[in-house]
Amino acid sequence: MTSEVAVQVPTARGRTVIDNRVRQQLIERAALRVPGVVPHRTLVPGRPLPVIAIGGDRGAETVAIQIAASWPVATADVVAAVRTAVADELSTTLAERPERIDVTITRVESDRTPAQVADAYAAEPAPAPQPGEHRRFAPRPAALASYGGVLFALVLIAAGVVAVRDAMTPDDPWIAAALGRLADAHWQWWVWPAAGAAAVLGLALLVASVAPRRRTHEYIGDHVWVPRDRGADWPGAGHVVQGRDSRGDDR
Amino acid sequence: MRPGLRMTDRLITFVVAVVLLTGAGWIIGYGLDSAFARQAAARIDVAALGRAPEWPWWSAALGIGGVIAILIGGWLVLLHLRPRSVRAVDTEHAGAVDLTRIADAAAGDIGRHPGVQSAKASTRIAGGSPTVRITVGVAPTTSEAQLRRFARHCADDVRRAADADVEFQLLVHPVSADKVRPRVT
Repeated sequence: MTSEVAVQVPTARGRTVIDNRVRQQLIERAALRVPGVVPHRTLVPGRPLPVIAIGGDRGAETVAIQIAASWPVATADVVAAVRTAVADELSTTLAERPERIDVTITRVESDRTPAQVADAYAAEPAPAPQPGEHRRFAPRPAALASYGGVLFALVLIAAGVVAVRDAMTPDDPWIAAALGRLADAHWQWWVWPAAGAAAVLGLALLVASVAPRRRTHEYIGDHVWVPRDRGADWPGAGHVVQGRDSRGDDR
Repeated sequence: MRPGLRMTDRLITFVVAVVLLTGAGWIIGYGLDSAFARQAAARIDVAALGRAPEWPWWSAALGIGGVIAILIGGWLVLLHLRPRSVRAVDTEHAGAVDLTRIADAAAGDIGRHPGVQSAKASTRIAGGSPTVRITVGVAPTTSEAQLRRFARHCADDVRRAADADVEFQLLVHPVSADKVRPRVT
C-alpha cells in the first residue's frame, strides 16, 4: 500500500551553518591520524591536547593547532603532515581552504618501555656532525667573581635599606652616628689586623675577578663528556680525543 | 649566565678588590709612618664627615641614594636569579620549539634505558649556541662504545625534534658499584 504525500519544496534555499565545534572535531580527528601525534588527556585541571583555535568570519580562515607528539619526534615532518592532513580534511569535508594553518607541538610524550628504549638504542645510529670547537662548549662551573657580584648586590641593598631608614627616622640615625665616630677615630691596635684582613680579602677578590673558569668535564668524542676528577675510574679513561693532552686541555 | 653579566661580576669584584687593597695599603702605610700615606691622610677633612649630617640636603640625599642602591642591588640579584635555560628556539621549518620540553623528553627516554641509572636534562647557551645537556648516571661497567652509541642516538633524536642547529652534550657520571640499582627491562 502506498500513500502519496504532497511535499512542498521551499522556493528559496536556506542557509547552512556549520558550527566551529564541527570544524574542531574534524581538525582534531585529522591531526590525531598523523603518526607521531598523540592525544593528551588530563585528570587534574589542565589542558587536554590537541587544542584548536579557529579564526575568520567565513569558515576556517585561520587554524591554530597545539598538539602533543610522541618521542622521538621529527618536528618538521610531523608539523608538515598535520598541516596537510588538516587542509585535506577541511577541503574534502567542508570545501574550506584555510589561508593559514599554524601547528605547535606543546608537549612531547616519552612513554616507551625500557625494553623498547633498549631496542632503539641497540641499533647503530647514523654518524652525526661533531662539535668542531668542543672547548667552546665545555661545561664550566660558575665564575668565582659571580659570588663577588652577588655579595656586592646584597651589601648594596643592605646599605640602601639603612640609608632609607635614616632618611625616614632622622631622630635615631645610624649613618650619622657612624660618621661621627669616624671623625673622632684614633689609631688603635685593632687597625693592624683589620687592615691585614682587608688586604687578604682584596687579594682574594682580585684573584677571583680574573680567575678563569676551569672545565668540569673532559670531551672524549661523540658528544660524550666525562668528569675530569673521575676520569681514572672510567673504563675508557686512557682515551682522549686527538690533539688534546691527558688533562683535557687543548695542546 | 650571560657573558655580559659574568663580565659585570668580574668588573665589580675587581673594583671592590682594588678599593680594599688601596684602603688596606693606605692604612698600613699610615701605621708605618709612610710620608705618602700621612700626606694623603692630612688632605682628608675627617671633621667634615662628622658635620655632613648637619647639611640641609642630608636626609633627601640619603633617601634618594638609598632607593637607588636598593634598585641597583635588587636588579643585580634578579639578573643572577634568572634561569639560564633556553626555551624557544627558531626551527628551520616549523616556527619555534620549546627546547626545554625536548630536553626533558630526551632525558626521560634515555633514563628508561636499562643501562642508565638516572638522567637529568638542562638547556643553556654554550659557546653562543643553544645546547641540550643531558647528565646520565651509569654503572662503571658501561663500555665507552655503549656511551658513544647512547650519545649519538640521543643527539640525533634531539636534533630531529628541535629541527634546528642545536648542540648536544651527554655528561656521564659513573655511579659507584654499590649504588647501582638493578633495572627491570
